[in-house]
Amino acid sequence: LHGFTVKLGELAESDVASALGGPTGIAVSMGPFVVRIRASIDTLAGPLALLYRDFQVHPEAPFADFHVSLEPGRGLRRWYKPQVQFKLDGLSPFEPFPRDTALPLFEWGLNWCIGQRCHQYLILHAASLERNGKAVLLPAHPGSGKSTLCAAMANRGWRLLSDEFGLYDLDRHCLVPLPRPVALKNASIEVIRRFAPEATLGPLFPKTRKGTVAHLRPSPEAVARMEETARPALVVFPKFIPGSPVIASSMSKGHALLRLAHNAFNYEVTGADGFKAAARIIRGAESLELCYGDLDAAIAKIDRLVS
Amino acid sequence: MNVCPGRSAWTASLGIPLVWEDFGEEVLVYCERSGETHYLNLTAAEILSLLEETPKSAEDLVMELRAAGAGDEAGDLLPQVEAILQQFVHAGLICTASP
Repeated sequence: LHGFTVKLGELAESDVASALGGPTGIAVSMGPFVVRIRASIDTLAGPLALLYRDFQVHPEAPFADFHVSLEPGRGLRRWYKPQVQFKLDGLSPFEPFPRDTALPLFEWGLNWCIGQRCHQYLILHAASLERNGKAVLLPAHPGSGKSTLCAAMANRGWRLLSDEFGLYDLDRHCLVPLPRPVALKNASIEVIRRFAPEATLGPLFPKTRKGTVAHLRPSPEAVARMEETARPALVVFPKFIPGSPVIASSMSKGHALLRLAHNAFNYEVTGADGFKAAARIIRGAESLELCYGDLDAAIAKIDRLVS
Repeated sequence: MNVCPGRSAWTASLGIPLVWEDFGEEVLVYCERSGETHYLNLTAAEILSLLEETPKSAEDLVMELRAAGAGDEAGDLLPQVEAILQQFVHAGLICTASP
């Protein structure tokens, strides 16, 4: 790796594993962040190379926003029901996971890092996608179908900005892409397999704390354009209801602002800046609730609203 | 703290200015002291705005609201204003003004 900037997918899996296990690990650009990853376990390299195939690796990055490592469990847990620990700057903020769930642990751990530290953004629990310069925000509570709708839109011509976090830059007043893999859970995995057979999903991780999880690889275009910010034109609070027709209900700006603020991870931390940012988003966008039972119908509705 | 009828003066000028977002029929206010966001109807927003300017009693507020065209009689508005003041006190948005 010495001296070159390459995409992770251009390396053999054995080289990725070797670099992860080396003293400096691998530094990967993910949207506005550089993440330095070390792993002295053998269950991360494969899924990481598959799902982050198009991300740039910087072997000699002078600076990293996050230094994370995945290490074997301690004591007997190195061998008996082996575990993996996530560490940030050498400290372990979580209980260990089973060794074969290193990738979900890495994803959740990195989410935690961003949510804890990146208060230069209003961090919304929202997916975000862009097309023709217009971004759609999908803020939602768990179980609302946000990630499923996001994955579906990303396979129907929308550029994935992010799934878990809508990062709204407090100074530049725009959404900053963070196009990491989309975490799909339980029934959503098969839904997206059928909806987009050409999409690449990573391995299934059964029996995690959120059930069975699989990750959708972001498109090469989404990764290549991850420095292109976008402004929100539509805020959609989605709600999946099996069998429901598409019902779009307009929201007043006041209620939309309250919902959006409630949805932000760091609203209390960002204070008045966060309030003003949420207000700016709502002023510049149409807001609505969208009940849907069919992905194609929901996407067609969103397409019409944005066009 | 209860809002009693009388000439107690109230103020919303508590050191850190409130942050306002006016959407026409809806007004939202962010209070940095508490970190809370409040959704106000127009009457409540007008009262809070008046109290941010200068301390006023409930009766002062009723007169100003009537001058602005709200309510038919002072008697109609006073209980409503006092109820709103009570909510503002609970929310930490106002306090009694120092004499």
